[in-house]
Amino acid sequence: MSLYWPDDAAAVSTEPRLHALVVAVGDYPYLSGPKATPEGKKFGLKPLTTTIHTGARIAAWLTAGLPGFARDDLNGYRNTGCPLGSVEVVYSPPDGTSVLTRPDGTPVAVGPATMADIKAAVTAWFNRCSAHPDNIALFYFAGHGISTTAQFLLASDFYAPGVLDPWENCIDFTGLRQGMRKCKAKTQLFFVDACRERPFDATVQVNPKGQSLVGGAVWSDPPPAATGTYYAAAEGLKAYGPADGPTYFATAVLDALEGAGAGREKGTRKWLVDTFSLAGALGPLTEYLKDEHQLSSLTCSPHPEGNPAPINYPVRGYVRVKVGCKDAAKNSQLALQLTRLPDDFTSAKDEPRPWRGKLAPGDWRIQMKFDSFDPLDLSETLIDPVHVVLEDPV
Amino acid sequence: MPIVFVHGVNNREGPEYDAGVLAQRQFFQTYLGGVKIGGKSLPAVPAVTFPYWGGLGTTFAWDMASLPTDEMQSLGGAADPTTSTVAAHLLDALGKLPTDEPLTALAKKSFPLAVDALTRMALAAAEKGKEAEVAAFVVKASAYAEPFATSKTNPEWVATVDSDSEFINELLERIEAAPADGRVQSLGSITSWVGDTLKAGGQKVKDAVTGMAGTALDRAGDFASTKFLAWKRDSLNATLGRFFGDVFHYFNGRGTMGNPGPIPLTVLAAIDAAKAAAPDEPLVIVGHSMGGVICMDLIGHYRPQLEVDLFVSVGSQVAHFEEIKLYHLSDKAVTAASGGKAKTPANVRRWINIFDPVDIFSYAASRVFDRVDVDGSYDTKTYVIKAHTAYFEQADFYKRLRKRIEGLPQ
Repeated sequence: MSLYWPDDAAAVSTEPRLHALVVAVGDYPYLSGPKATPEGKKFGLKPLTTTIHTGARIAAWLTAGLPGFARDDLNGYRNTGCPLGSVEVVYSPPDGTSVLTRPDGTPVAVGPATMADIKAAVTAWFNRCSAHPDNIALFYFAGHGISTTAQFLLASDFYAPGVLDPWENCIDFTGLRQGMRKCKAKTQLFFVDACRERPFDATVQVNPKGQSLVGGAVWSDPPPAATGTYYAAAEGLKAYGPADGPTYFATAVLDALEGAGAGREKGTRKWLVDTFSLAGALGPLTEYLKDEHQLSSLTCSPHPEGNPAPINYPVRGYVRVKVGCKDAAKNSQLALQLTRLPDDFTSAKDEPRPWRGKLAPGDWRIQMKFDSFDPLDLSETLIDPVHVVLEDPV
Repeated sequence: MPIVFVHGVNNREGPEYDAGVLAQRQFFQTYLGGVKIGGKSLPAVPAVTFPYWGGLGTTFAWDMASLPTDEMQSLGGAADPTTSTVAAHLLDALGKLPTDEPLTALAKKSFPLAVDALTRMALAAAEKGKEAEVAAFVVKASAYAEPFATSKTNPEWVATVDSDSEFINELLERIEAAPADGRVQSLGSITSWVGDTLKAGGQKVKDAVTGMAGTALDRAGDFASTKFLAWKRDSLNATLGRFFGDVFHYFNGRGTMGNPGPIPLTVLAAIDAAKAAAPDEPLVIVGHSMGGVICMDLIGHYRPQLEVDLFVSVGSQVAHFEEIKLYHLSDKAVTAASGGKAKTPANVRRWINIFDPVDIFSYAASRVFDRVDVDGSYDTKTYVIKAHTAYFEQADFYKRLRKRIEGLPQ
């Protein structure tokens, strides 16, 4: 079993719902470490912890809007037209445990991210998603990835000994996505938080094939009305994450869903993140993280298709803001006052610079005061997901 | 620009040359920064200039069609010079050619030698736009291997490696600083252009030595090095051909002090510019192989007023050509029979001459010239053919050079 929420599969609603499958793989025992096979070691793939933080974080975000699951740091998934229906998680941390603690403090044992458990979880998830055309299907994979003839996502038992075809233990994501034409859910979201590189030892393989897990779709099946495929890296490149937290891609995705990727919904004026606005926000938010963490190699690759479809209605939209001076010496003197009535924000001069935070969209007055320079008084209109103000006093 | 490096023969413009220059610059800056010479110090990050005269060297009217080829083809298949060079490395170190995971076998025998093989492969495979990546790999890998060359030990992790791919992955992981603070994980392998290129090169070596071992062992029952040298003959022949070609070309076209030829003009312009750019810094001129011979000729005859704080000749024939009396300054009356030695040019303050006894193109200098501060050997730990080009690809060489410089009278 890998059902994270609700507790009982029988309780899963057949009304329009979002059904999520989160695959988080950190343990790759046959690729490195004492159990590693000689052929598996060639790939140079190591255990991961960032993907485990990611799986837990994505599951926490999906459920944070539920009664009893509230968190201080996340508003969570909110969509009254398509509330949360189920969250399926398979999870393999390097320490081998597969128990997650939900935001309400209850532990839940989920399946390890081996191919057999992934297959079972995909089957359950697919059937739930396909139960109603107004469902949203959400697939999130965090783990090692290889891209050669297709995008492959590696299960925890990739290259396990005794398996005649070691590629059997990985997901052929390209095939899975195509196979999902068979699923009736009209909105389908795929998050590939994995590398997309072509390692030499994969390119020399004769005809590597993973498992698409969902097949049998025919081209005459209509494609989903709205699809978003969001990759954590541009084609051929790597994805990254800090060892002690979620991946940078997950951080950007959740930031966008929480409000940085929101615009006003036509007619209702509600804050809304849809399949296209999410895609539009991921680029600037990735740039923001790149700057914040000094990681020149961060990229992303969002691909929304079809019509824009609602994903999340955040409590409010916001803009990721960075304010400071280009000159480090001037930064050290900078005291900030940011004002957009009724909001008023102060940052004393001994706080980290440049200042980074979330501000409501709109017209802001930014006052910058220095010990030995003339103050600056700026008016800035914050609209985009990310806004940067770097001004030096004369 | 206080360090001027004058290359030897067999240098032709292209990504391999450019990557080599980038690597050498980093090596010089890393290992010679701040060193004191004659009471003056090089800057912490000294500028290094590389006058290129390879384009002025000899050309071959039939593109070396005179090299015999039949026997080589029957023995060596289609192995390229780099592959056969690495295979020679293997044979030299192991005494036989392993057919399975050859780089790993070499690493387990001698980790620094395996790194030498990889850096050579990386340089030879350099492509346009990848020169900096190759140079960074060469410098980092060589610096990582240097302590093991000194201690004659291997890193512990080498014993656990099962394949060439794994060896390359592990090495790259250890020499490549992770993004930011090292706490960042990549959701993929340690891939890079250099890594993939090395693995592809390793596969070619494996293919080549597998074929070689099969052929030669079946015929002779023993893998005699003479047969192997025959397999190497194409590249060795070409190397010798270009060497003699460039030597004749230089001496025939060097001109005179009043009318210097194109090669002297090119190198002198770089030396003059270096001196003018940093008149208060020590001037260091490094000549490799034929580059050392050119430097000796230029410093002694064309720029007698130029004060050279340190002349470093490496793997060079400086003394050999004095024995043949080919320099402008050569005095035919000064010979062993006359009981004297050739005069080191007065404007050379200090002279360090480095040779590897295994390097057939390198010569000692102190028994021919009257003033050589250091006439020392350096063991590239490679074999006859490779040694000549190995010095400047090894961090250990630069480290030892610095020690030699620090040991000079100030």
